[in-house]
Amino acid sequence: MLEIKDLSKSYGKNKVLGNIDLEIEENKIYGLLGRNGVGKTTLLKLITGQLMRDSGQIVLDGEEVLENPRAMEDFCLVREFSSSIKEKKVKDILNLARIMYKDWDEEYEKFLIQEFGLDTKKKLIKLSTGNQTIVGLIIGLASRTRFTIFDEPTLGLDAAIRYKFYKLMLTDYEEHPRTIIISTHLIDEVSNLFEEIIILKDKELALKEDVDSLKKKAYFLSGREYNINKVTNGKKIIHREDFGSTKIVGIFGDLTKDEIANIKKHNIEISSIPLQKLFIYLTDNMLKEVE
Amino acid sequence: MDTNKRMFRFLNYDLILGSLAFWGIMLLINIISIFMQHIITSNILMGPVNQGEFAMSFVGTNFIAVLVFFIVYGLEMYYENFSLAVGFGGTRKNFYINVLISNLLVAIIFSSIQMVLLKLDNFLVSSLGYKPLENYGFFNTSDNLLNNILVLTFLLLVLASLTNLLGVMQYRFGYKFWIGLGVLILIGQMIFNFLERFIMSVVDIEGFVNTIIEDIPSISFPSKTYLIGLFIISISYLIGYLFIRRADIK
Repeated sequence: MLEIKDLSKSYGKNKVLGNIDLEIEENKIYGLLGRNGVGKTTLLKLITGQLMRDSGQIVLDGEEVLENPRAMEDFCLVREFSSSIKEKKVKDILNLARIMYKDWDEEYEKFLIQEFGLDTKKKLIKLSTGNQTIVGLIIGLASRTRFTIFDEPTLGLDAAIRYKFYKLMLTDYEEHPRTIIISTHLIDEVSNLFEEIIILKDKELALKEDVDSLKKKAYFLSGREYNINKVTNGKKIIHREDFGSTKIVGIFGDLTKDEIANIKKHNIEISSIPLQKLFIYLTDNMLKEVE
Repeated sequence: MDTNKRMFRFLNYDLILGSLAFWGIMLLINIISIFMQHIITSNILMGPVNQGEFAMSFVGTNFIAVLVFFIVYGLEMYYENFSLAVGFGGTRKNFYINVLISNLLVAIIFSSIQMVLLKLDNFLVSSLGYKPLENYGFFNTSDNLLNNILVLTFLLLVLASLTNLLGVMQYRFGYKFWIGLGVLILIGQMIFNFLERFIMSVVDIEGFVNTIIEDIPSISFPSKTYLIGLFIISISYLIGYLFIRRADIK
């Protein structure tokens, strides 16, 4: 298990991430969600030791991860390539990745190159944005690291390639279980992949929960505004819609049997929130308290 | 394969091919130079002129290209390799240790090639009827080959330590480093005529070394040079490590 304790990072006086306490279990797929600038990439870079933290600990198997060669080789962070290496040929980048990752699967790498139709003789800079992304995806998948992290893995990819990647990732995950963390804005496409989600808000951890229990906590209530207001008092509202005198609200939190009975008594329809919508609401309107 | 070995292979992935390409081009230039001198029989002599005498060396001019190679090699090490190595799960410490090993390796390879070429150069220049350049200040090409390789390796390691520091500073501070360096040189120039002093120190390296350690007459010029060289190597690598050990990946 990967334990993150009281993690903080600032650039000068500008705090970019603070007080993150998190436990990442092995062999699960996590979704890391949050709005732009909330600190998702910073968190991923801190986990993989690419950024130096101000305070806190990241512990894997009881050992601090930072500058620990044994622990660091268990991480692969796939993100947009920096401009400094874009003059390198794709085959050279893949060869270098093969050297560095101890569990690199060469056969799988070849399969992925063929599957994505990648020209490895070209320089990275000569490839389209989508194909540059594919190089990163191949590295992530073929690295077979214990913790494979994808930061915006679908940048510049068309829908067909995106779904091919999701399919390949899931197939490989079933055959070679590992922890996968995906940070993405395309929530509706990947929501069904996640087993747990982590939501950042205001540069802090807002929520970490497994998808099954999330589903059980999120409801749409639909009915007369007057009645809705009565039953949502004190509940966390994550979504609101008005259709004339009818109101639909999304609430987040456990409902007791009595509360459910009370809702029904007020002629309010109760239904589950589809996963895609739930993630979008949680990310956008994270846990607003009812005033 | 452990992490250190993997980092070593990573850092030296391009090195053999890069060195081969560099020395292939240099050799070609050297051969063309010798060939041209032979067929044109010009009065223009190529290579450095030694102590006012018209001594000639085709290969001696390679040192300028070697200097440029080391600067590019030092800058590229951090601009390209550092981000990629740490991005691929390496540690900064492992990276730096292997940079030192790689620097030493490059110094050995380059000095070996250059010393063998200088021996051949002497023979070819003599056979063309010219006086070969033998005295390069720190070594004499007529001396023992192994001794000369060791001396040049040491000198190239001094150069590598400085270009490594240049690479680290460029990575950490980017354009700000060059502005800072420019301002320092400007101030140095205004206060104590830095540029002229620097060039004169390089031209008369023996005089410069003797001024630095003038109080110990029992130590000979080469020994003083090695002491200063060792000091530069230690300080440069130490400062480089202090700046890179907590560097963020860009």
